[in-house]
Amino acid sequence: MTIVANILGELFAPTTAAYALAAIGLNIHFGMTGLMNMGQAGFMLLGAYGFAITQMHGANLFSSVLFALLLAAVYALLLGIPTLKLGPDYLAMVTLAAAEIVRIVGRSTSMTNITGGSAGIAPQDFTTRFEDLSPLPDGTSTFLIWTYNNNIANSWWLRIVAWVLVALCAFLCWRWFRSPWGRVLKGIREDENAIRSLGKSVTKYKMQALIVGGLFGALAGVVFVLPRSLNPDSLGRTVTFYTWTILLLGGAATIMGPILGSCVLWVLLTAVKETMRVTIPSTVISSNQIEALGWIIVGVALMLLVIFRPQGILGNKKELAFNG
Amino acid sequence: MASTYRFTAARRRRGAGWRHALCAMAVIAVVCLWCGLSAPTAQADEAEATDKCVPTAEFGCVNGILQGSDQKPIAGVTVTLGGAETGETTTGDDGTWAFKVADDGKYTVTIPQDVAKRYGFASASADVEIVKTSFSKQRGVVRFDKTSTSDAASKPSAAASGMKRPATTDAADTSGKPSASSATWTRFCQQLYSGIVFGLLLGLMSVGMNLVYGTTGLSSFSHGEQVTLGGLMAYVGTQMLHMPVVLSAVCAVAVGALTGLVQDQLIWGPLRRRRVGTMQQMIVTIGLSMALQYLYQFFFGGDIKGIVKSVPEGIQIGPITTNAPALICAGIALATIVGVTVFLYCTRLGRATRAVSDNAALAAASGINVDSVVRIVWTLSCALAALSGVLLGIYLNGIAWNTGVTLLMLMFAAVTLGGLGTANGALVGALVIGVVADLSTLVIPSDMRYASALAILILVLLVRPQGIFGKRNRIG
Amino acid sequence: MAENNKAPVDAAQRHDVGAAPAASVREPFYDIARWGTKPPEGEDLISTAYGDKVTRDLAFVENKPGVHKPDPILVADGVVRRFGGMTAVDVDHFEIERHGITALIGPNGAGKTTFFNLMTGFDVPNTGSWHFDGKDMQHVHPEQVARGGMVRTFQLTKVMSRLTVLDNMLLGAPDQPGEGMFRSLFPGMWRRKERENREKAEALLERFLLIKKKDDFAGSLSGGQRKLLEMARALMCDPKLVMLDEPMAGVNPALKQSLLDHIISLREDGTTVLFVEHDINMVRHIADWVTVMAEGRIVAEGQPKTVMDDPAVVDAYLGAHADVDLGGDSVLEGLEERS
Repeated sequence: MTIVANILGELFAPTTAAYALAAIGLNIHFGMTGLMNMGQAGFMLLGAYGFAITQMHGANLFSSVLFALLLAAVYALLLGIPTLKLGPDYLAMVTLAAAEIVRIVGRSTSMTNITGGSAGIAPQDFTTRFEDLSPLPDGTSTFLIWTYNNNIANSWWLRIVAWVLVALCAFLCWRWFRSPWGRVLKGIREDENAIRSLGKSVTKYKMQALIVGGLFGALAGVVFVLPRSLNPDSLGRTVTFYTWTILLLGGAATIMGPILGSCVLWVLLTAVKETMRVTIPSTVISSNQIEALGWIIVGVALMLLVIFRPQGILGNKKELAFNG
Repeated sequence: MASTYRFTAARRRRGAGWRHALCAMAVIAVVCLWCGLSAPTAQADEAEATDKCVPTAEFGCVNGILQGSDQKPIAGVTVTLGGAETGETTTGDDGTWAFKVADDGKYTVTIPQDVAKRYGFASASADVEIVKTSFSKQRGVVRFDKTSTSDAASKPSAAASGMKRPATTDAADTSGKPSASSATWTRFCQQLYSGIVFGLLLGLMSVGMNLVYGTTGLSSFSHGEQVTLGGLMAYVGTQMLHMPVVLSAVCAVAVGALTGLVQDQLIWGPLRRRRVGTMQQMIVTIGLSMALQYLYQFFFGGDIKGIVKSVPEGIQIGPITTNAPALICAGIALATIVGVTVFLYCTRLGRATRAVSDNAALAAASGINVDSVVRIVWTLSCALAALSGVLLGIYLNGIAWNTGVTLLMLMFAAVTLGGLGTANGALVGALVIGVVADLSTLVIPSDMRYASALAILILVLLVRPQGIFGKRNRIG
Repeated sequence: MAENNKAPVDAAQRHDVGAAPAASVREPFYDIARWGTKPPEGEDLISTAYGDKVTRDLAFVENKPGVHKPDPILVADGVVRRFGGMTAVDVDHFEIERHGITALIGPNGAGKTTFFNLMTGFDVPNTGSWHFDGKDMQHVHPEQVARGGMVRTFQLTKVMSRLTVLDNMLLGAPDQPGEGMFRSLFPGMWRRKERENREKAEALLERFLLIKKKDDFAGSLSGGQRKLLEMARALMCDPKLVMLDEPMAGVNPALKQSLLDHIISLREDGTTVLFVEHDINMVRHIADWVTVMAEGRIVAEGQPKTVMDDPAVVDAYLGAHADVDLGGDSVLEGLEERS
């Protein structure tokens, strides 16, 4: 029963919400604009740092979130200026490289005083103000089969906030998708020179898309670290690749795709891992190996998905976001 | 197909305002790196003395085997650790000792003076630097034996470095005797040298990746795993099957080539025939990369696998300390790259390859079998990656499941820097990256060295988006 | 060649038989959409107000390269573009007459497309300056060029394959407030403009015979239809100058007929047209002025009738096959029958 609760709990876990947010951001980059952002984890990490560090120094919640968003926006701007005029390969590599730079600098020993180095920032240093804001009473609550703490760490309060954020971002995304702005972005995805020849400032639109997607990424980063500690290595490349898998699983260029993708991926992955943990004795396969097996499954799933159903669960084969 | 993705829109010149913004960005980047320097180091903690140490994400290792000049282990000697963390241990029966350290930084390892004198060591202490993120510096192997044949008499003889890599020895600093400038000079030369060696190995990895990009337009994210595969196969050969190093290396390269061939037959060939776009294929390579990485971890575990167990003698050339395997590795890498270049320019097949790179459709129309060329390129590329994995494993004295993926970024940087899809660009790009990464440790904390290499990539793209050797395409 | 003499459909003759009375000469004829590709029974082509004016003006212009014209809309001076050692474009002086249909012809690799790219900001020349409608266009971004009223199409058609035909058209519309990131979130701010644009787009699609396809993905169109769509899209912003890069390439003869009509009707809407074409016969019948490029230079300019006899053109363009008729006459039959 606890296993089933664990597995189904992933459906609305804060981490699932965080990945959904990140994937919504990536959807604006890739699904709408065709930008190959291979460094969404960089936005997330930067957002998480911006939030946690200002919280550590006693800023209020609102300004911390604002600062996180600001950092992500500036980062997007810095990334966009050199790369948006270049081909998709370059953007992919530069975003990937920049995300690595953020992580390497963040985890550097010499930054220990600011970012906590490789150990990162402990949850008690930055989550208290968020938890204090909760209107819920202290203690734990049980809803159907799930029991979680009301306010602390991996809590109901965090779940509510996270999914409200997801809903809000999805709503924004929906509005954008159906607006002339979204149409220009889709046009850029198809052929940016054609859009340019029609008098639209392509670089401006790409920059806007990069920033908006990055802001969603930063929010995702904040939600991602709230139930755990901020560890730079937990927001590395693999997170970006997870996000890609989620986006492609759900369907790029769809509104609900990223959310659905995130839920499906995490539930399935947890189900597989939990089942293995229970059924296979640890003498045969250690828990580390089960973890690795989970990754292998994600990798293979990503490959199969892209080859056999590139439009994902919800996508329209005709309006596939891939070029060529 | 290859040409469509190449530098399509890389042309619009912006006004001066953009340039200023870019300068500002560069300044910010530099400031970011520098502010790290000003941060004071953390308080010294207790290091954990263990029998055997395996570097992980949380812990680095300072360890060694205490041996006399007759290669016999010296047991029961107290070894003291100083620096970012402190600790004390005694050597085991086989002369081994190890510390598990949580903090990055410089460590000094000391043994009693009388022991050092008795066994004729030149010094009783040695310095190592530990950087947990850098797979080459998460372990520091310390030696006290007599390797000092150099000018500075007081130079500690210990070849203490990141996993046998003499490049990062800071021994000259502690000797105190040579003037500051000459110490800096020595260090500069040493870093330059190690940068070049690393650059050559990186170049060998990148050449294959660039060939694949040139002929198919695909940026392969799984190339790093091919490198890891080479190293791990060499480990299997030497340590599990107890074959000689050269034979293991040959087998590893053969396995690498085979995987390239099989991959092309099973995955890339069918994808090309289905006309799956390169972006889509790129994401397939990401999936493959993830699957392979963790497959390695599944079978080989998370620790570093040494291909060659013995610690080689150091060689002093001018201001540079090195050893024979490092030189041999660099030599093989260089020779192979030259060989590939000759192949590309002087053989029929090589010319066909370049023709396919230039324009696959045209090449096909003029009677070149594009599919078989691409198959050969994949095979060659994976073989080169495997070879570089073996060399890297020997040079760094170990290979781990994630070595390749750590280097993937640098390979991308090298390839992009040299110009995507150009024949020799990768080598030049790789040398630049290698040298910049290692030289940058002179001014920034060494755990940020890769960051500086990647920053260079971004800066170069600002000035010359098509890379050093790339060409621009026309629009319309 | 002999056949063509029977019924040269040049602007002057069209005026003779044209439906436009002298009184309405100033009013360009807008209602061509009604006619589609073929005029209804008993009616004949078009008002030729602008065509007549241009013909009159250009009649006195000397037929030589780099000549000055009475009312130029685009003036280029000393534009040079080199790729490595090769000089792709080297134009000393070039003018395009306002309201005229100017054809740019030349053999492959003559630098026509590069010249288009330079004029529209998609490429940057090594030296040179050019003015559009009196404005200096050096260092102007392509998007600003387009907003200034100089819109181009591409030799290899660029349609947004995975957007609908209508969306493709709507992208061509200027000044849509909903294309701002924040304003797009409030439909009230852009609905009205969207509706106007939609009406305009549908009218244009009707004119270009694409109205039945308006909800299909543009990727499903045929090559010729894509050319039409690209042209229609370029007209969404009422450009002053349309630059068409090989609008007839790969278009089947029946569609070519309708494209020719569209180009003529553009002139009568007050739009200046510059187009690149290989088919000399076609050029002869619709262009008011022909400019010939070879090896990056302008080697000849003049009235369509005279420029073809210019030895420089014969030399540069036709080369050894001077006696071969390059254009398919089948295309012209439609025109001849009509007049």
